[in-house]
Order: sequence, then structure tokens, then C-alpha cells
Amino acid sequence: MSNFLNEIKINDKVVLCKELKVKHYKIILKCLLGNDVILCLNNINSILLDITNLTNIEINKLNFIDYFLLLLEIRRNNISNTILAETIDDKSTKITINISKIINIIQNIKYQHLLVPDNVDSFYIYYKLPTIREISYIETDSLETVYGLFLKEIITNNIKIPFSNLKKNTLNELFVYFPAKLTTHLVKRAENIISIFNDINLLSYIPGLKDKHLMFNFNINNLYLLIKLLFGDQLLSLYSNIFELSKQINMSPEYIENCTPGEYGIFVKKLEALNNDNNTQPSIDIQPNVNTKSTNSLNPYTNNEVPPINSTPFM
Amino acid sequence: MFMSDNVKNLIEQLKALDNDISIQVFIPSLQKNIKFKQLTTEQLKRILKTSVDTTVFNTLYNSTINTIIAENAIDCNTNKLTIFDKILIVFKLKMECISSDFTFYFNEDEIKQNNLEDTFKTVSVLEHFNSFIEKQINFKDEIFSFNNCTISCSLPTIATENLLDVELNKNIPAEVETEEGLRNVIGITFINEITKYITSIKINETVVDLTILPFNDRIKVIENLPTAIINNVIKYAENYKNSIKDLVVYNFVLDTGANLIKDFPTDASFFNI
Repeated sequence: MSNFLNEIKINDKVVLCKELKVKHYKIILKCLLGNDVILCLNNINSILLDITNLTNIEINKLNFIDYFLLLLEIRRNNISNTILAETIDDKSTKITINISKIINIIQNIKYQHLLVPDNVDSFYIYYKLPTIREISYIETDSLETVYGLFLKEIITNNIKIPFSNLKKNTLNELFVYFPAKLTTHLVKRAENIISIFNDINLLSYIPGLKDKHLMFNFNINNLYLLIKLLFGDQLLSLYSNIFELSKQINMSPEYIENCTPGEYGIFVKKLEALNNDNNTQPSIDIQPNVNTKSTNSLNPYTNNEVPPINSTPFM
Repeated sequence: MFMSDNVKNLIEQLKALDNDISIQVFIPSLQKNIKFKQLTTEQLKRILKTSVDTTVFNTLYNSTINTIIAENAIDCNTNKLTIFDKILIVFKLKMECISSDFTFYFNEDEIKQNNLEDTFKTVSVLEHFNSFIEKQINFKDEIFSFNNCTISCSLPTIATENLLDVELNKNIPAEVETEEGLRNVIGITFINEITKYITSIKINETVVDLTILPFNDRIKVIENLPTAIINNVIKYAENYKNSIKDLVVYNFVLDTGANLIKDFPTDASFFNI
């Protein structure tokens, strides 16, 4: 338990980040039990507010690249740099995902040139990448919500329209009045951005894994899968291990919950070793959460709830 | 509150833009430029939605385009504009409001027969359009006589096209199952097409305005016209269609020196983004 601060570089700033604690990790694992993306984002944001120097507004404004850089760094710093996963297909290939490599891939996305402002007649258009929450709200049957996703603001005749907080109805109404030329231009710009992200496969660095994809695009299912991979332990094991650590070596649950998941993993391994030395069978429930069975699968939850490793393009 | 006011302001400004950003189109029948408002996204959506129209005659697309032309024309009664004027307006709207390029896609046969490397090619509609305009093509009304029967021919107006297409659609079955039914539809369509070009028929001293006759009466009148007169009308219509070919088709000159001719679409796909 320490007050160690990490510096995490995201695209336009350095974020100071305290360590993720077991109590935070427990919350994340709880939300990942279901498929409620919004609930999950709400809880993760609340944890980010607790452990980083970002304000609530700043967290909510993070584009999805920065958001994932933050989560990836937190995972790497506080749990481990690798994720053992298993592809869900006939062969069921086991792979080790290296988080540093994934961070490199994401950091190498030179998206700034995709967002260069331009104009159509008197409309000056400024672009942005969406936040993960905006991506979760996309309705693919409403093209306005898709193409509006990349609009930061439009300025025309001294009127500035910020698009970040526009409701769907307002967005639809505005698009109706937009000159077709402007909409056509926006559609082309958006499709260009979408097509570039549809080519980003986070597993591309692994040789011999050509047909397996972990897409980093605007499909919320793919992004949610990535979150599940990053924090893919079994909640039940966590509870059991806290119980055994308290019972067998008198560690207080409060202390354990304030350790990092990495530190907690060390204690679990120590207990396991101690039990082996004493020739005592460890409790059947003791499962260290780092690099063990619990992280061996893409789906750490139930056998019936296996997310495919091959994620899909957006649109 | 601030946001809402801004959005309202923008919508007001967007409406005002209608007159500020306009497109000039030279209208051959009027021999002058007419201003048109830009297409709005809502209008573009209306056009693209007509792609679900499965009728043979693209009635929905035609009526939508005609309505939009009427909505966007500034100080002009578009009912009196001809179908030639309309083609020029449609090309201009496409070029100015969507893109000055158009992408042709080649089917498997075209690729095979011509050894094409690409499945599509994008061409400049603007250059194609300008080279057509330079030819300054125009069409004049014509009068044909045979014995005591005289007919006046002119290019159909948008109003005529609207009226006759709507009637045609009402009078032909949605699905044709028999050979006889098909012959009947072709016959009706043929007569309808000819009728569009005939403004009036004068027999002795009686003048009949064909465009205002009910559909079935019109068919009866046309069926009874002398063949010589009908042939003249057909030639007039063919002459028009041949003259605009340089605009409505694109000639790809291939590496082999051969030509591959593709039609610009006459439906919503012309406005595809």
C-alpha cells in the first residue's frame, strides 16, 4: 500500500495516476459481469476520478484513444504487462497479448492529420475523435449520429455550433438544414476516418495470427471486449482469496483491498507457497489472479459468455 | 440555453443561405440563366430514398426531382421548363451540391470483354458537362402535317412529364404476368412517350390539346393518327435523344483503342455520395 504516483502520457497531456487498488478492481470486475456498457463506463470513470488528477469533465472529454491509453497503462502498471487469452474457434489457440505492444500500436495512430479543419463554402469545420461514451450512443441506423460523431464544431457567419453536447434530435434537425454539399463533405471525411480505424488490429504485431482480429475502431462491442480483456479476472476467486488471506495469515480485508492487484497477486502466491511448504493442500478456491487460469481465457466469466476474439469492422 | 439559441440562429442562417449560395443554370428553353438554391440534406435524402422505387419508369425519382427543382428555382415557374432544361439542372445540382466527379462501376462482362484492371473509374462530370454545353445545343418546336392533320411537337415540359407519368403509373399494372399483358404495357408506354412530345393536334379546324386529355382518350387519339405523322414524332423524339447522348453517356476510350460506353444513371444513384 503506497502513495506511488505514475505519470501516464496521453496525446496532449501527462496524467498523474495513483495505483489501482483491489477495491477498484473489484468494482471493475463487478461491472464487467454484465453487458451494460454505460454502467461499466460510469464506474470506470468514477475510479479514474479517484486515482488520477483528471477532473470529471476532463475524463468525460477524453477521446477514446486517450481513454484506452489510460486504461492500458493502468492495467500494465498495476496488474501485469501480459494477458493470456484464448481464441474462441475450433483450434482454441492460446495467445499472450503484450500490453506494451498494444500501447505502441495505439500511440502510433497518427490521427491528427485526419482531423485537420477545413471548410465548405462559408462553413468552417473542426473535427474530433469521439469519446467512448459517444461511441456507445451511436445508432448505426441514424447516419446523423454516426457522422456527427467526428464533428467538434462548425463555424459559419460568426455562429459557432459545438457538437459535443448536441442531443440526437437537435443533430438530426441541423443536418436537415445543412446544404447537401456540406453533408456530403462530412460523410466523406467521416468515412475516411472510419476506414482507417477499421484497419487497426491490435493483434497485428503477433506473427502467424493473421485471421484473428482485435479491432480498435468505433464499434462499441469491440471496445468493450478490450476492456474485458484488460480486466479479465474472476470476481469469485478475488473474494475467495481475500477470505483465505484473512483467515490464514490474518491480513485484514481493508489492507488487501488497498493493495494493488499486483501486490495482492504476490500475497496469494506467497500463501500458496506457504501452504505447499506445510504440505497442506491450498484451498481449492485460491487462484492467484495474475497469469493463471483465470486470465487464460478471453472470457473470464462463464463458459456460455465467450466473446469472440475476432472483432468486427464498424459500418 | 446558449446552445439552443445558437442552434436556432444557425438554422435561421442556413435558411437564409438558400438565396446567398445559389447555383446558376443556363436554361435553353428560356435562353437565360436561372438561379437555383442548393440542395439541402433533407432533399438529398428524399432523392436517395427513391432508390427503393421498383417501377420501370422511375416515377418516384422523376416526381421527386421535379418537385425539388420547383422548390429550389428562384423566380422561375419550373412547370414550363423542358426535359432538356431539367437534365441540365440535374447535372448542375449533382456537380455543385454533391460532387463534380462520378464513379462508374463495371460489371463482370465489361471487365472480361475489355480486359479492365479496375472495377470502377471516376470521371469528371464537370469537364464532360462543360464540353457538352460548348456545343450550344437547342431544340426547336416542329410542325408536321399529313393531309388535313397537323401536329405540333415540342420537348415535353416538366408539367407534362409529371402529369403523364402519374397517369401512366395509374394505368399500368404493378406486375405483368402474361405476354399479352406485357405487350399491352409496352404499347401504353410507347403511346405515352409519343404523347409527351405532341403539344396539339389540328384536324381541319379543330385543335386538341393532348396534354389535358384523359389518359384513355389520349391513347385512342394517338392510335388513330396516320403512321406518317407518328413516324415524324418518333424521329423528333429520337433526334432529341441522340442530341443529348453526348451528355447522358460517357465514352471510355480504352488502351486498346476500343470504346466502352456507359450511361449516367437516370435514377437516385446519380446522387450517390
